[in-house]
Amino acid sequence: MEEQDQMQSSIEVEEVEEQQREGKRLEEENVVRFLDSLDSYVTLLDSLSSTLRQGWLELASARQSMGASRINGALLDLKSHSAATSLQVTHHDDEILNQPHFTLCKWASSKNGYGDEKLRENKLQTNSDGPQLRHRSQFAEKIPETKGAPLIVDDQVQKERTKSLSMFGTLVSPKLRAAQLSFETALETLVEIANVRLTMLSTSDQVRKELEGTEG
Amino acid sequence: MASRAQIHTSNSALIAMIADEDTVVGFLLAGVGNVDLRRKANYLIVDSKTTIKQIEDAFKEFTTREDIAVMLISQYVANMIRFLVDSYNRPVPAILEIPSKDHPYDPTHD
Repeated sequence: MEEQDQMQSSIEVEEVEEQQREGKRLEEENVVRFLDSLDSYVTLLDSLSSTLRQGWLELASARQSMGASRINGALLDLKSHSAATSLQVTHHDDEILNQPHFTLCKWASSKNGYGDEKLRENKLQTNSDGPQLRHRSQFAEKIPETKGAPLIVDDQVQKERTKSLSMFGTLVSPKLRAAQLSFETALETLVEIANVRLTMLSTSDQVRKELEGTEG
Repeated sequence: MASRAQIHTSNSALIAMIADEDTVVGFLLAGVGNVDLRRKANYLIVDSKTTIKQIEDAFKEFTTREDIAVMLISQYVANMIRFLVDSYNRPVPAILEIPSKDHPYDPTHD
């Protein structure tokens, strides 16, 4: 009888220790996820700074070759127009993935039927627990599955780029085109930063709650 | 049977900007500029003549618009309205502080 009681109590002690180990493991996982996201955040910001510096330099070179009066804020189009580059925001309603996710849609024109949607998922996000959603343009079904389809899409993208450049004139410096590409790259980095920041803030909250729970 | 997580997607959300001229012009070249029928733009160019009130009003407007998902703000501009920026705590629109040409990014302020 005493032996049975001893066995029962040792089993209970083992279970409690197992739960504590499991809790500790989850806490450490959250800390590691937070540190990973923080590292990614800092690295992406550094990359963004370099890309922006390049874009500003190219813009300055374009201004020098085209003239300061041809590249300035006063020329910006204040007539009603939609953004050609936008974001898709996906919300998950479960307990684990309760943060939004941003996806960049570059040069997706709503005017024509063959809008190209260059979707850039955050590569770092692919390492997270989130499901990998493949977003398709609402016009994708209209693009025929022929050899010419990618060329049509590229043409549309070029048209959108040219339209964006046209606010500074018909003939523009190659440096202005280069600046446009640099700022497109900067946009992609910024969307990654936005997603990583959300992960960082979410894991930071979890770590803080666990620490408060431990102290209390 | 396990329940599926509901996934809601909103399309064509905008990127707003409060930054210096070169930064705004650069991102407008990348196609993010939007002007609605009331001639309201999704950006504010900050220069030496821009007042703190104008920046505050733009920040408040962009953070309350439902069609804006991300707001870019130059860090030196964010420093001018730091109290307002730090008191903002919603996930969307996400506020991203970015470096500017004349003011490199300082992580201690972010």
